Amino acid sequence: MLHEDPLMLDIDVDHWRNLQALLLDSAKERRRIVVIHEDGEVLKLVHSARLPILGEVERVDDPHAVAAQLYRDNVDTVDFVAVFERRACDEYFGRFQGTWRPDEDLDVFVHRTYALLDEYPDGIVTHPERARHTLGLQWRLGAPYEDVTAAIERTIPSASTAVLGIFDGDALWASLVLGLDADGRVHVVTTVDTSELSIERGREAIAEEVVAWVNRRYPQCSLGLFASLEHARAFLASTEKLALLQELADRGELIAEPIPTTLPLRLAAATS
Amino acid sequence: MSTEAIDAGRRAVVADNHRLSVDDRTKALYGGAVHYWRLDRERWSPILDEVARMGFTTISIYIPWEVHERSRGEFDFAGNKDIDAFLTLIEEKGFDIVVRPGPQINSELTWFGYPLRILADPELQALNAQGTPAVLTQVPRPIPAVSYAADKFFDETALWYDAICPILARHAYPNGRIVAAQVDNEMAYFFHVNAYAADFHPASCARYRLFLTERYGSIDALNEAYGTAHRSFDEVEPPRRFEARERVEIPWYTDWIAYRERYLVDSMSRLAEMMRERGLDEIALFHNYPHPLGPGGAVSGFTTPFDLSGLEQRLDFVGFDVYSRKELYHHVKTVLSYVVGTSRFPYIPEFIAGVWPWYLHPGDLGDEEFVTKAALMQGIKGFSRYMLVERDRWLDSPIRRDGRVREDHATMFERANRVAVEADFADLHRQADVLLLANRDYDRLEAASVLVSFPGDFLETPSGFSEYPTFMTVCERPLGFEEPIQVAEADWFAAAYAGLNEAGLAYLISDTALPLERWRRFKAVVVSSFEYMAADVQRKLVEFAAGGGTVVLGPRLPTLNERMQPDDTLKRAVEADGERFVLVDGFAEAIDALSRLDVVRFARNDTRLDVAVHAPDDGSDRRIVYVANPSADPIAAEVSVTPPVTWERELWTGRAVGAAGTLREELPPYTVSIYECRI
Repeated sequence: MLHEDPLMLDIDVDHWRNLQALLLDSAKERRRIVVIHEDGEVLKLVHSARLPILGEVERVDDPHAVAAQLYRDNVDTVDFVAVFERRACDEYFGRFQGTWRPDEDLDVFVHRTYALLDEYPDGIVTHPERARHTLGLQWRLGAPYEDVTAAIERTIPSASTAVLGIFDGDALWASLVLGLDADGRVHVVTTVDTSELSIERGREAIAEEVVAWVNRRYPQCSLGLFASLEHARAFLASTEKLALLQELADRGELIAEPIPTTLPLRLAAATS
Repeated sequence: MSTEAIDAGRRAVVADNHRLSVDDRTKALYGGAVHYWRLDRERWSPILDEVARMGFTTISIYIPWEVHERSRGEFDFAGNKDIDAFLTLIEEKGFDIVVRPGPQINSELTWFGYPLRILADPELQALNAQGTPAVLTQVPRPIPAVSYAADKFFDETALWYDAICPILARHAYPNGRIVAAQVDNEMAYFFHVNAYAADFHPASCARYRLFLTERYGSIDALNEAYGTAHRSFDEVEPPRRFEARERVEIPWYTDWIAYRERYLVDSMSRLAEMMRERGLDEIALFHNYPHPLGPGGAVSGFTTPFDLSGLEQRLDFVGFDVYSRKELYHHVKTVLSYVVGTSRFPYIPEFIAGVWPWYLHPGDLGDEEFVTKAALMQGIKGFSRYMLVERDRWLDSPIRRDGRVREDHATMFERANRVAVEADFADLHRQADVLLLANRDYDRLEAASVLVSFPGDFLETPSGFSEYPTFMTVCERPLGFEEPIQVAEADWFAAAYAGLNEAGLAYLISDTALPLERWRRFKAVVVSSFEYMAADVQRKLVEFAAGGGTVVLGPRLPTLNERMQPDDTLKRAVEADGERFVLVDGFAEAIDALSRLDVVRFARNDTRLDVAVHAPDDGSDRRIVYVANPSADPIAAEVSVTPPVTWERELWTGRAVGAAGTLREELPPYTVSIYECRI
């Protein structure tokens, strides 16, 4: 999906920072209890902020039960609990590195890296969510990777560009510009260059100018979606994304212009 | 020139005593990076004019093998890849030049600067402890680490160097204005810092055995240290995970860590020699270690696998790159105080001017201004802003790729350069009488004792751990000692750091590999000491004390050396001389002892404030004093230094102050003020 030589040009740092805050979750930055054991012998039991841990762990025979109990006992001071078995970790990290191929796209490699965690259900354990959805850098997209890539392929025509805009009040708070090449691979990842916009207030006017700007700078803009930060968060959290888009459009809270022919049909189908 | 200056006696370009000089004139290396191949050629000249307008004196240039190679051994230097023409243009504009020809340059290029054929060659891939390629997940493609132990890698690099170095040599001083060249880039096993993440390539394992041969001399000596019965060095396998339970097992593990340091020193040295052989022998060669303290990174992390002192025996100088936000003041202070305390020429090879898109939580101009001042405050003498000119996969530089200028950014960078030049920072020296030493032997044990092995990852490894060893990943077994040294040593260092800060004692940081003659510039050293300590470090401490220095150490005295063999050299010296050695458990005792010395110090009404004093070498009464408020709160500061000064002017704003003895100023959150003073 992600081209090996994507253009990431003229990124607006404020939009980019805001997008990161909206879309990404870092496990490193979360409060957590870590248990490292080897064949049940506890080698490490520590809180990431070196806070006291309520509850004792003498052995790890059932890592799921240990993780759940530690989480319950320390729910006020942790976001998650991780229980690692050393040999499982060594094997896991060795395995995913061994799958590297020079011609494979980053997203495919990373997706497989995280999917492989599922093959260590007792060796790499987290609570309350499973390891695949907890560790590392997590995308808050509210949809599995396969659904996201399928939606992009289905919705955005090849050799065209999509732009998403998020408003805080009537000012543009964040934007994302995704360009697809003739093979449907993501070849442009950036934001709107706000230095080239003249309109600072007013959602409709900004959306119109942004789409015009995309059309000047990148291959034809096939999709423009603009909504408030509140609704963007709701969209990301929703499992019925098309229905939510339709609902927002019906309420006049979604600016959707242009829309590729694929999207209205889906919207119609989803709400019929 | 100090005796330790690299063999530069015959050269006009010399890095020593915190200066880079050319023909005995100190150079102000306030520079920044411009990627010629990413710019339209007609933009080169106006963009360089904008760079000059901001007061930069130097242009730093990565040169990408990946971009120039058309096919193996065939190169393209035409159009906007015409590095020769770009260098000529820079010289015409009056800049000095720092070149960085790789082979690795990262530069957010897809293949990190290498032709893909290099990365795709299994014979050139570094291996992890499990025997699979050591893969760095980076954007836009994951890449395998290259084994810098494989001779074939150097043979391939020679093809690139044969093409690029003659061009550079034509512009190298005295032929042109290239004064320094960077050897490779951020070599840290491609961010596989974890001890068992790399490199287990057969060529690396062979070099490991050669390293052991040099270290022990005979297999009998190794067997005595390891408690093994190997018949030859060929039988010795490197450790692939930490399993030690007793102290006798430690040398096998810590030797692997020491080897990993040597691997980096030797590979950079080999590349440097190749550059010198190709005409870059009249300029300074240097290397940049990666910033070890990024978001979620370690608190220390500046020693192993890095070896700044060791590498400066082969190169002219070594620095750490710095990309940091204002909230990480103490991280910035730690690493840069270490560089100032250790390097011949404390230089930041890459210093934040915008960031790459996958940098999590990019800061703003306020962060960059604060970190700039914080770096100068520690005593940094030169830097290269990365990137001065924005381009693909980089955001928020002062100059756009089309030549437009972000005026607020340009104003800040221009002011920083102007203040540095007008106040003659290049000829000032940080005043500090105390040297806080990280003990490399304990750092090696800490690195070796990680319980989990995982690769570096620009997008965050799916473990939740830092690639640097921390209390979250290090084994807690005591290994036959009173406490797990591998955990306690980091806590001891942190306590010493905090204690010195709180007491208002001016200090710098280095590590136990620093040559003894450099320790002697200080009145006291502070170092952790547990049941074992390297024999050479014990002797250096004894000699330092015998020369009149004060040694603060603790919490215990060693009776063993690094091979776990009896050695009570230091213990006997301490017991014989209660004056020069101060054995402490809690750090309050250390502060009491240091406070009795005649040392540079400062007082302030809020211990969150930090202060640094700089003075010229000419013995004049001029002083530059920095006062930092690295907190999120405004502070009504009251600050005085010893010896007392008159506070005349704040340099950044040009504001007159006129305070005698005690400075009283409102310091907003995350600010550093720079004062011109007189004693």
